[in-house]
Amino acid sequence: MIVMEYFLYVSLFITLYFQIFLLVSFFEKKKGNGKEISQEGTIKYLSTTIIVPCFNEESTVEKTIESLLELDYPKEKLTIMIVDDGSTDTTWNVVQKYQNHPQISLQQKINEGSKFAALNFALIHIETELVGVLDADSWVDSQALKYYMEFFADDKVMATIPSMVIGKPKSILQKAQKAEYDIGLFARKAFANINSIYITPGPFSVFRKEVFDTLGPYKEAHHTEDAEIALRMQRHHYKIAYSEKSIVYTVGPCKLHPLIKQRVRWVYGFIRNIYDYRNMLFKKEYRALGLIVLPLGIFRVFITVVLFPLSLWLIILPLIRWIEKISLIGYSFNIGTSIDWYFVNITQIHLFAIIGLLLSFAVLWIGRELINDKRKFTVDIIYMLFMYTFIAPLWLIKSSYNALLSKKSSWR
Amino acid sequence: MNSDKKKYLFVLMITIGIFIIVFGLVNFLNNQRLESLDDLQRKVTIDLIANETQFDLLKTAPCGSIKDTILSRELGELGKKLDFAETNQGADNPSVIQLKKYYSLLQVKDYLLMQELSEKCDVDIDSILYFYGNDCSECTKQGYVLTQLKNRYPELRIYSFDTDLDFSVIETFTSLYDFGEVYPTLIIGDNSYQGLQRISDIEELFPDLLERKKDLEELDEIFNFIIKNTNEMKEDISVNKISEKEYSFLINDQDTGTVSIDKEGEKIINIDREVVDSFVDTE
Repeated sequence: MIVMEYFLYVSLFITLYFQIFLLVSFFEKKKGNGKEISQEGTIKYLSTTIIVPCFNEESTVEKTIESLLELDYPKEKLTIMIVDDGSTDTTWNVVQKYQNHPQISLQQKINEGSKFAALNFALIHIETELVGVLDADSWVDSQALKYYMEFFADDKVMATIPSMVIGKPKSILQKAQKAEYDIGLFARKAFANINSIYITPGPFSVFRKEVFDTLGPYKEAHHTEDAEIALRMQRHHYKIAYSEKSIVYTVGPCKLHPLIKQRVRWVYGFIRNIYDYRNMLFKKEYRALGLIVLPLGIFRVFITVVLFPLSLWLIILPLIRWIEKISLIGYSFNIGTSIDWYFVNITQIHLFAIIGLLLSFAVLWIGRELINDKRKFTVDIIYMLFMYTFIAPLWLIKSSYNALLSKKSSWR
Repeated sequence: MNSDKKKYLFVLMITIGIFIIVFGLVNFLNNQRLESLDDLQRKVTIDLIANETQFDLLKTAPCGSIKDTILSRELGELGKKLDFAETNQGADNPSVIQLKKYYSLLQVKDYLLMQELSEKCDVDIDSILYFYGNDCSECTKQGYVLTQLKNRYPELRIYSFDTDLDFSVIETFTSLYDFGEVYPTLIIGDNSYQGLQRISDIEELFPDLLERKKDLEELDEIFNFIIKNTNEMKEDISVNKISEKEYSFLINDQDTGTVSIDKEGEKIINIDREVVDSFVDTE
């Protein structure tokens, strides 16, 4: 038990270190060219193609395409390429209405079991300066692409990622994910400040075409091609920027089972990709990404795997004691009129829990500030805490287990 | 690179700082707790010595005058707090061990005083000696039972001894009873009971406790009945039992009346109006 206690404190120390590291990074002043292009006239619009890979997205694809057509961007500079990845539903029929649209090109291919193939299929046909991806379950804010140009004005920026937000959450689980994504925005900004973005997510990441010309096309990458390409770029010191004002809405899984499946795929892919790029770990060359962000990312997955059973035990043990006591002496409801402070038990764990909670509130506030969300503290943070206490360990444990046994997790 | 290192160190300093604050704060609170325990211990000691002295002085005096003063209630409170400190800071904390030994000593002292009192003054004092060991799950349960029992019958005196505490006084004490190393063990009167004893088991051994509790509850009911009928403060009222179904009461040591219970169990109040009148007159 003593060993467990030390283990717990060491883990807490590392976790706290990471959180403070992110906070410090967040507030760090960015060096280099901080000039922003704000006047309409000075924006240089680069020719862009957005790939929309769809596999059985008949109900959502239309909304995705409409949002792209409404982008505040010169029409002659923007092409939308819809790739039907062998859908078995009516997706192909649904998109036929855009057949003669000047900005839209429709492509169809046989499904090969993974998204990367659809993206590579599209890349062959693309000649524009920028290439973006937008999953068919997401839709963009009309200013999203325009804001990207501020970042692409810097020649060194090779890709830009948006602020991902859960759009119109309905179920409790989706509301929990909304809070989670908003907190994620804080982390994203902190990572961007220290050049440590290690994922270019499916919803609306935009790259210079040059990236694929020089580094090659997408890879299968354990069904997480969006993590692999980012790591590949980082390895070659390609800069990935984060445009917080570019908002893209996505849908989170509504039910428990698909959510766990999605997260197992993410975490499994994350672990396996880092394993593939393990020569980046602890290399001074990669600075914070190699020294702190990636190692601690892995550490946090495994720590949860160990700490979850422990904390569950810490909750259950007093409960067993209490039931034992009640069954023995009966339940007596007596609240003392005066609290004797002597008996108020405050331990290190309690204080760390409070610190953790305050930090969560703080970063949620910061995340929502980034996207100008006025409603800072909503009930969804409670859902999120609940999700992270009881559900997240499930997918973390499962994906670690899969990763250790190199078991493939299926796409969808 | 240099600025990176500076940053890593800076973050490390903050993290260490937070850890120092957290551990320092908890340590401070625990020390405060031990200190308050120490204070309580001292108070109990003074009480005990005072009682002992008083007892010696009043050996020839009527027993009634010492019966109330000698019962040190704080011993129970001390036990509870010590118990909490033990689970909170670990049974191997040197300060806790020290306090526990002292507490055991005080308990023995109190027990001996009670014995002497009950012999000399011929009063019945209900007490339980409780011996327990560590690593004994039944003992934890026995602890719950005894705590609950104490809550129900505050006048019951429970003395608990940790036999794993390396302390000669406890060893001597246990050797007096010769029950082998079986825990939990309760000594009630001259008999020892081993293994978990439930509340009902123990209650059966103290028939007078139940009766007294019933009386107290009845008295409480009478009090409430009088308060309801006279709107006086509880502190101003005193009640005496005259017979099985009749109580007399005083208000502010002046206003007298009676409460009787009729055959149906209904309470009837009689306030002596003459006394009320004379009370008003003199004002």
